[in-house]
Amino acid sequence: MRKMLVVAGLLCLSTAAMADKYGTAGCGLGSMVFGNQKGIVQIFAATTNGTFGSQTFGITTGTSNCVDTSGGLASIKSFTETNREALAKDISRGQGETVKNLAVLAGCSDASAVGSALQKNYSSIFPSAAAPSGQVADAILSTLRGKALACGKLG
Amino acid sequence: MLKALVLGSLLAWAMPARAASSLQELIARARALRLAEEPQWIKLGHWHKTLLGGLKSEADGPDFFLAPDGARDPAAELEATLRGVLGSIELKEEEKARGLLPPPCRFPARAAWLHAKLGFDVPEVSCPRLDEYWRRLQPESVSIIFSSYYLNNPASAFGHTFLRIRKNDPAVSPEKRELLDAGIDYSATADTSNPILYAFKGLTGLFRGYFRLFPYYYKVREYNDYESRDIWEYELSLTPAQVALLAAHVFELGSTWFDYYYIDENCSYQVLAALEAAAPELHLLEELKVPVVPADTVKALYANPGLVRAVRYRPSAMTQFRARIDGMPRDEVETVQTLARNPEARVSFSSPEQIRIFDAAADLVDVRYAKDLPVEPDGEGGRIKQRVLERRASILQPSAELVIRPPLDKRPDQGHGSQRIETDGGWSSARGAMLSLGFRLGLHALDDPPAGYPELSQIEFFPLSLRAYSRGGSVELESAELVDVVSLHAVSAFDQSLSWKVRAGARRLRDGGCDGCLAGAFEMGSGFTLAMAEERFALFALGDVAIQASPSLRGLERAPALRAGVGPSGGARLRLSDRTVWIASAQWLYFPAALVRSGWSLSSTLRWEARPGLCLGLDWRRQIGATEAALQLLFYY
Repeated sequence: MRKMLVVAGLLCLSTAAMADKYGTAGCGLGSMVFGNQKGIVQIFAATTNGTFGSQTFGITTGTSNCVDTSGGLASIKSFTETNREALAKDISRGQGETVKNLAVLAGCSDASAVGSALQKNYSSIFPSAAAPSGQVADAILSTLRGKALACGKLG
Repeated sequence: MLKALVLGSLLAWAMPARAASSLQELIARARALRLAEEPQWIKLGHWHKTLLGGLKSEADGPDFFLAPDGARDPAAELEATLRGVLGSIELKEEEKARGLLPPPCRFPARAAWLHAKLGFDVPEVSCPRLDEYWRRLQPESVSIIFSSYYLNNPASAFGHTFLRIRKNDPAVSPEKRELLDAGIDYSATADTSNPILYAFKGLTGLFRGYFRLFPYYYKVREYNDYESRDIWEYELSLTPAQVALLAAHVFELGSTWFDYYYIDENCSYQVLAALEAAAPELHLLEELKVPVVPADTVKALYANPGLVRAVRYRPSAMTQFRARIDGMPRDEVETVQTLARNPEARVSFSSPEQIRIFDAAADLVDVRYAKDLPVEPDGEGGRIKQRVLERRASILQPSAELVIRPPLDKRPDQGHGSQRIETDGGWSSARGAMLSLGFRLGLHALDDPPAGYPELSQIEFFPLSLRAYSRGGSVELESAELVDVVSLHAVSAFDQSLSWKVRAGARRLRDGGCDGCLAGAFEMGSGFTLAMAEERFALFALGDVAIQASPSLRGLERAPALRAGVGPSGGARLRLSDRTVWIASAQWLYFPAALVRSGWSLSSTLRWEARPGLCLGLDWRRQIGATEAALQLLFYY
């Protein structure tokens, strides 16, 4: 019945729900897009606190690192966090779109070398499913700092 | 920075500046040139004619206007903008306190446009937020992104459109950094999870819609992975100046909101309105109908020859998984299934096979646990995935790149028009010759031409049908549905999702309990679908429940105007060619405690798309009260 009620009249409402404490929740897809809420609330992508979180993506107000893709440490961390599921897969495969984009963020010229190096270190980058994103990003950075990769945007 | 922007990025488009003039001279020249009447100025302010003949801007946030009556007066707003851009408008204390940008920094696109028309010395103003925005975007080209239909989230059943702005970075080829491009999304900020309130607010403009900026990867992860929706990217051939002006205009829109109406002023509409402001010679908004459905956005692009210069496809997680197991030997597929349950299972294949088995298993886990992984990384799915990936990584060889051929017949711009007019001529065993006239507001039915739409999904909005018979009387309402949704979901070894349908409205019933009476009816069902040959052939079986009400009904013994039914339904759909579809269905309902205990119906429809937008059909249906056959003519627009 709920489904029907909502079907009756909705066009292209995008999910615009945000965590109301994004600052502590980080940049991950779960917290940014779904407000870490589950079930029906997730489907309606609604929050109780209105537009607070949208500040993050606000065009004139969004200054959070979560939206920075210009390269360097902060953007690598938020990229890693949001793309975690896809990145873990690509790293295990030693190649893929997220690895290529990560290589660009880190200023590495050889994405396939980056892929091989990350693949070799998979278990130290993702020691468990629960590994916190900050730790994952640090482990990725320490692999990228390897001299042979010559990544130029790691500050 | 404003100066650099106007004179740099936006200059290619700007005319040579004339000598410095005083504000009064500039305003006088603007009046003499009637700049406030120029189409681009009107589009930059989003002014539209009102029913009473005046103009009103669709932008609802007051910060978008500098003149007190700017929302209704483009000329006053133009003059105020000149004053603002030249630094003669001071922010109020209250505006400073909430971080409102000073006018020269708030309206870069208006400034550039006025500069091009009038020429003046752009003041040196520091605009750190505009700088930051520009640094992030570095706009080079623009694509319209269509995220395809997703019936399981009602809000997305029609798809979604937004903008992608490609970064200019000559050092790296674009396909290696696409995820880092900027996405610009217009969406409502829903502030309720109450579904009734949600629908009501959405229909009546009580939500505010904002433009938002985020890395493109957010949307790729959300749509491709989390919701398993295919994404289509339409790259536009705009001039560098148009691209820059669009980016600058989107920044302006960041200072306002629009009341969000699902039906017309929705994401698709506003995205095109922004595009028109940057390139006013395009015909976009005029191509839209009400309701504005996202697929119409991409069709509108094609009304401008040459505007789309490339179409790209980004397969969903589900599409990727299907591609991985396509053509895989049976024993390998079985291992994939086993691994997705038990990641420690033995994999006794040599390494090239192992690689593709683990890669497919990881995709399967991702699809199966898509909803859990982002919010609960350490749950069951997360743990299975972790182990599969560890084992995959230990093989230490790169996977081959997965190449997926875009399903060109599902391109949303290829779909039929969402509105439909139908005329039928036929014969009814009960009433003799009959003529009928039908109209549907949107969007797609299982027997409509399949190009550009999901193969096994139907979402019909307000289908209406009127009939006249040779025997007995005047024009009668045959049916008027609010919605008629069918989501058939082919069951496979990997995916046991249920098929479902919901239908609500009024229609004539023809059985023992109701001889052609008009009844309000609500019906829903759930069941299974089997499909083969890339879903060209599908068989479905559902269990239905129905509630029907009509004063002429012989329903429940205690309340004849009402009855509830339960029973099976099923059918077959066959896509005979890209332009021919046949569908047959049957339903039987048992009405407990009713005066007449059961009813049934059979139907068969053949549809042939004779030419784009025009279908011929043969329809046959049989119920207890009547057998009917009709020849149909359907127009899609």
